[in-house]
Formats: sequence, structure tokens, C-alpha cells
Amino acid sequence: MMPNRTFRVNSFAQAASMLAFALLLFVGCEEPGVVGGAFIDDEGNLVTNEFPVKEMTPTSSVSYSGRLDVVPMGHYNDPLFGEITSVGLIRPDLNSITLNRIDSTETVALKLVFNGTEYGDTLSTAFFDVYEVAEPWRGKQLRYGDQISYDPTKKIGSFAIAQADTALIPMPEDWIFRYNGFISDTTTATDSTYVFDMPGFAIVPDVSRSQKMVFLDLGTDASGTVESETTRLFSEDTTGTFQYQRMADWGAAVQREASILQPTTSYKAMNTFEAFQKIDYEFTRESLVSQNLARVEMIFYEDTELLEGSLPGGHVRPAVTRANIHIVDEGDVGEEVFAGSPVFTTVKDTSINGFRFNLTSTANLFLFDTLQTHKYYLTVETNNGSFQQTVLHGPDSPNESKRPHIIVTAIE
Amino acid sequence: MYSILKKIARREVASYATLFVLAVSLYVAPNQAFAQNDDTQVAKSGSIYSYPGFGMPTDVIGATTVTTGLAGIGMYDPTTSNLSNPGIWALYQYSVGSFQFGLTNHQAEDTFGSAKNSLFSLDQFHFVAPLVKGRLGLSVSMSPVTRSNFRLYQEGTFTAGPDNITFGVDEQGAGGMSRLEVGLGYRITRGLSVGAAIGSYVTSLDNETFIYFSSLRYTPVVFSESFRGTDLGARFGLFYRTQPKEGRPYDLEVGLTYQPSLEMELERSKEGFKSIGGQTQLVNLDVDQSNQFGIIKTAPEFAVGGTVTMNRATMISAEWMQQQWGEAKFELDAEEEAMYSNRSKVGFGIQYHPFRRVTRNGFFHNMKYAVGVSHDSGHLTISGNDIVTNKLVLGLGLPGRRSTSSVDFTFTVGSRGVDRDNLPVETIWGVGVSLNLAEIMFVRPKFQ
Repeated sequence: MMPNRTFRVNSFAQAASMLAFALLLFVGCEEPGVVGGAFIDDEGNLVTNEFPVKEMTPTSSVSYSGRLDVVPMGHYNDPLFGEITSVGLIRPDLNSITLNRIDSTETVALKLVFNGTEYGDTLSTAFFDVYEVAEPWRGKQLRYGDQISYDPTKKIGSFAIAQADTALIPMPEDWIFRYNGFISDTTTATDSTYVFDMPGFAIVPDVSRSQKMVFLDLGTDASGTVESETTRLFSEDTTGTFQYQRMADWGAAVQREASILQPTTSYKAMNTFEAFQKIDYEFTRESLVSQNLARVEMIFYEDTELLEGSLPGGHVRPAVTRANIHIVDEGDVGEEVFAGSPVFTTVKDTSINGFRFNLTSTANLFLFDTLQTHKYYLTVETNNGSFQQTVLHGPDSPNESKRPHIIVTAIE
Repeated sequence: MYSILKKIARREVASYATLFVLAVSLYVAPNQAFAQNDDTQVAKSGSIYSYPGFGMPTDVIGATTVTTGLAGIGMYDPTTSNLSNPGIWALYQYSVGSFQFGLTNHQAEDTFGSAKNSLFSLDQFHFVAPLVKGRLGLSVSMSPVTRSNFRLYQEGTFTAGPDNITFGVDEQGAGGMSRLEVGLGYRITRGLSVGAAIGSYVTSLDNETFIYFSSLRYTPVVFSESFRGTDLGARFGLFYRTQPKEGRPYDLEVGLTYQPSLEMELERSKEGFKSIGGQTQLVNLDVDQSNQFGIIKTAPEFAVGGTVTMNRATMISAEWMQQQWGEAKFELDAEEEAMYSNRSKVGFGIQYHPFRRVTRNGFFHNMKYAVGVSHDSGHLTISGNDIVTNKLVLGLGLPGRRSTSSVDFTFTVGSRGVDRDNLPVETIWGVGVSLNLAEIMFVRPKFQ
């Protein structure tokens, strides 16, 4: 009889497997904790480095002042950004949805609705006279600095804005009569004739009595617009029925005089592109510390001291909450920053009153690919009709901690 | 008769083949599946002290003495393979094999906190076949040389411009140095034998780091670092045993082993996902190549051990091992290299095998019992403190009922580190299994 001495692997393997499985269940999950810090100094591998933005070069462009989100109007002498006088321009449309003809029994008025933003002395009252414009104009062609003449003999009315946000100007019969002629005319040349014969209204600030600017809300976005709550030409018949006419065109004729204060180590940035900055910075292998970057950030600080110190009590400026960096290598810089999309946009960090741009991806491009030399331009907000302006500390600011700089956080 | 033998041989070969496949798959697993840094995984991290350099030295523990936790430099048992001393390979009368695996739990504490890590590992696979019975033996094995399995979590703060940022670093490492070895043992005289082995040594270390920040402006940083290198190395052994006397098999066994150091060039690569120009790409983070290659040098090792067999069933072993870690190198990190210091380990163990006695009564007489203690001065000296490891191992063996094969279980408790200078102290406990195969492949059955 052959003795059965064959070892059965399966029995052992099964026993061992079961044992191992039971042990795994018994031991349970890991609980990694903060242990070993005394002899493992990995946190020392996280390194930060700061280096300055080399240069800020003031740049300016004469940008567009028509067909924007709002129409600025008023007068304010800003010690830092200059004396601004803005004449609002609007022209009621002919293509009304409901208004085909105005009866003599109807009341016709221009309703101006402001967006509540003020620039200047908030405690003051702004006075305006409304005239008929004396020359044809197109909102899309209006630029800051343009002047549009109005006919002082054709005054439509006057109004004052204190804290209210609406003004109502009744239309004279003469104007209604001429306007009726256009809205009932169905010939094809009507529109161009209308632009020439009835160029619209100029809302002219009384410079001697006004120390603030307000901003007309056009309600240009059709969706969700309540006709009675936005800027419209409207008529009301004897039964109390309203009909509304939108504005066909709008803009502002803005004049700005040089300011009293001219900062030397801080730089202006205005959403009208009257002032923005060309930025020069440079990455090097040394300044970026290593190829393992956690974050590369470029920070610009507002010169809050200058901004606040230059305003009398009760005066305000529309806030700047957003800054952008554009790349413009070719073409007209002003056109590109107006029409092009920024490569970086950041919201103001109110805790430091600064704008922080995340350049990590760009720095990685420098490290791992080819970072082409570009021309970078720093702008604030968008050219939207409001005056959003700020002053940024420059590379030579006496406040060294506020100079624009780049912070690199890397793992060595 | 021939067909019966052939059938037996086929079954034997099948058994070994199964074992070999299982061993290889388990051996490879720690470098692949268990090296994955997946939070859902368990049992993949070991001692925090395996962080520095190329890992913590892993001693060769022969299956002969696994139940005492000793290497087995000076002990021969014909039924269990002994990987630690090449000189012993000459003595086997029939082929033996073993593989060992275990689960170790490290509970670490220091003044900053605590951590619990568990590590499942295949410790070794070993197979010895007598080419000339009792004279010349061939050994094939796979075993770890060092092992690095850790998970480390640290927190810190830094200032970047206007921000004070708190960050956390979660670092996990897996891998180590392993050897695939072939060796021969040759008996020179009746009592004296020598052996040598040559092995392919492979280092494979993978660390993955995850850094996250308290500020949302900072996106988490994830990168991995790997080290690879290969080299050839050798081990040598000498073994002497006294001749049997009436009533007990051997009086005394003594072994010596020596392993010279080996130098290996490690290649380091560092990779991570980065947003480059708005597109996320996997990039090499070491393209400047300033630190991509570095030499590592293992510690030369000398060990001596002896066993006294008091009667057929009781064996008392003692060992001393010295590793010159002061000579070891880790060029890629001088700070970590500076932690290396010479290591000595002493161990003492008793095994009791009642089934070997002439009279065998009852269930408990069919088992192997063992106990061993060891003191290890450690290969690291940090802030002037040796990272000492003390262990107590209890062993229980179950011999096969109709074969000389066995399965041994070990239970280990111990501690590592010192409670000074904020260093972590680890409480270790583990369980291990050693499957020992001893077969008759090359033995002609007695009844023939």
C-alpha cells in the first residue's frame, strides 16, 4: 500500500486565506494621523517667493460712450479723476409695439429712470435741462470727448434729481405733432429722415448747480423689462391706458478736464479706458522656485489712502469690483480691450483691497512649454457707461508692501 | 510502480506549481495593488520609520525559526526551509519550500498625535532542492531586503503675501528593495558546510503626495515620486553541526553569514498633473535633471547564530546580527542618509516540538510551540536616539498529519522608537503564517 504523503496545498491555502481574511476584518481601516513630524520635515519643502511687477506703463484710449448699459449724465468735479460733464443723449424709437399714433387727447411724457448709482455729492441735487439735439448722432459712433450740439431754443423741460430715481418730462405739443408725422409714416426713408429731423433729446446738466452724476437705465434688455418701470416715452389716454416707446439710440457726450491731483507713484485705472496700464512682468526658472507649483499669483493693491483722502465727506465714486488682464499684441489697443475678452479676470479681494490674478497656468506654460512674449494690459470693469475708476499702487510706491508683485508658492 | 511514482511526482509538481504561482502573485501584489494610494484600501501602511531612505531593513527569517522570530542562522531542520544561511542548503535530504505572509499593525504615537497603520505583506518565498542529497543543495528564493510602507500626514502654515495659509500634506509610500536569488550549499565535511547565493536586487519605491490648502485660491497639489534601480548582490554562509549522539540528534549547531554591501544607482522620477495654458497635463516635474540619479548603498551584514538541542524536542537558539548602516548611502537625500547608524540585533528563542518525541499522547503533542525575543538597535539614529525595536514572538506550528509539511503561525508584539524628542513610539503587533512544504519528490519510497 502506497502511503498517502502528498501534501495538499489547497487545504493550507484555504486555511491561510481564511485566516488572512479574518485578520483583515479584525484589523480594520487605517487611521492616518499627525505622526512623525519631529523627524520628517516635509513641510519645509513648501517654499514661497515674491518678486515685483517690473513696470506699469499708463495707457489711454478714446473709447465709446454710446449704446452702453447706462447713460451717464451730470456734472462732478472729482479731485482725483477730473471734472466731468456728461450730457445724456436719447432718441425715442419709431417702431413701437403699440404706439402707432398719438391723439391730441393723450398725455405724452418722457420718463427717465435712473439706476440708483451716484457719483459725487450724494447729499446734493442735480439739475438738468432737456433740449432737442441739433445735429444727427449715432450712439455706436459716440466716443468720450465728443460734443453734440443742442438747440437752446428748443427746450423740452427741466428736472432735478435728489434721491429720487425717476424724472417725468411732459412733451410739448409741437414735438408731439412732428413725432406723430414720423410714427404714422410707412415709407422706407422714414428712419433716416427721423434721425436727421428729430435727432432726440439732450439732457444737459446745470453745471453751476450740479455736483453729482446719475446714470440712466435704458431697460434695453427686453426680457423681464417692465415697461412702466424703465426709461420710456409714454402716452396715456383718457381711459388711463398707457402706451410705451423704447429708446432707439442712446449715449453720452462726456467732457473731462484734467484733475487737480496727479499721483506719481500710483496709477489710474478707469473703465472708460481713459486710463489703464500696460504691465511688464517676467518669469525666470529661479523666480518660480521649482517646477512643482502650487500657485502663482499677481497682486495689485488699490491706493485706498489716495482714493478716500481725495473725496470730501458725503461724496462717493462707483466702486470697482473687478479687474482684467488683456493680451493685445497687435492692432489698436483701445479697440481690443473694448471688444476683446480678457485672459484673466478677478474679483476684488476686499480684505486687502487688491486684485489677485491666478497666473499658475501661465507659469506652467513657461516651465513646460513655450510662453510667448505678450503685451499685457490691466483694465478694470467694462466700459459700461458708468464711471468706475480706481488708483493702484505702482512699482515705485513708497508703501513697499503694496507694490504690485508676484507670489510663487512651490514644492521644492 | 513506475506509474505510481509518476503519478505521485505529477501531484507533487502540481502542488509546488500552485504554491509558486500563489507566491509570485502575492509577491508582486504589494508592489502593485497594495502600492496604490487608494483611501479605500486597508492594510497597506507600516512603520512610520520606514519613511527615510530606501526603507526599513527586512530581515531574512528562515522558516525553521519563524516561530521564534529569529533568522535561523544556526539551525537546520530537514522539514523546513532555511533561507537565512546558505550553508544549510547543502544538508537537505529532500526538497522543501515555504512561503510566509503576515499582517502587521503599527499603532504610532508622538506628542503631535497618533496613527494606526496596517500592512499585509508576503514576506518571502523559498524553495530548496537537493541536487546531491545531503551534500549539494540548490536554493531559489524571493525575499524583501528593505520595505517602505508608510502613510504620513502633516500640517503646517505658511505666509504668501497677504495670506496665512494652513496646509496638510498626506504622503503615502510603498515599495522597497527585493531580491530574487539563486544559491548553492555544499557540505565539505560531515559537519561543515558552506553556501553562497547571488541575487538580482531590485528597488522600487513609489511615493504619492497630496497637499491641500485652507484657502480656496489654492488648488490641491498632487504628485508622485518613484525610485527605480537594480543590481546584483551576494550572500555567503557557513554552517557547522556536531555529530549525532545516541538519544538525541544533534548537540550543537553554529552558523555564520556575511552579506557584502551593494551599490545601486537609483533613478528618481517625479510626475504630477499641472494646468498648462489652461489644459491639464501629466508632466515630469524633474526636467532640470539636477537630482534624477543617486547612489544607494546597502549596509554590509554579519551574523552569527547557534542552536543547542537539549533533547529530541527542545531547541534553544541565540543570534547576533550586525549591519553597518553607518556605511550605507542614500545620495538623493543627505538629510535622510544622515539618520543611518549601525544596527545590531540580538535574539533568543526556544522551540518545543513534542511530536518528535518517541511517545506522542494527545492533541497538544502534535503541535510545535515556540517563543522568541529580540532586541534591535535599529538602523536610524534621530536626534541622538536609536530607534530601538523590541519584539516578543509566540509561535504555534501544525505539522501535517501524514506528511512532514506544516503550517506555522506567529504572533508578534513589540515596540519601536523612543519616547524622547517628540519621536513617535510604535506599538507593533502582528500575525504571520508560514506554509512549509517538505516533500518526497526526490526520495525513493522506503517500501520499494
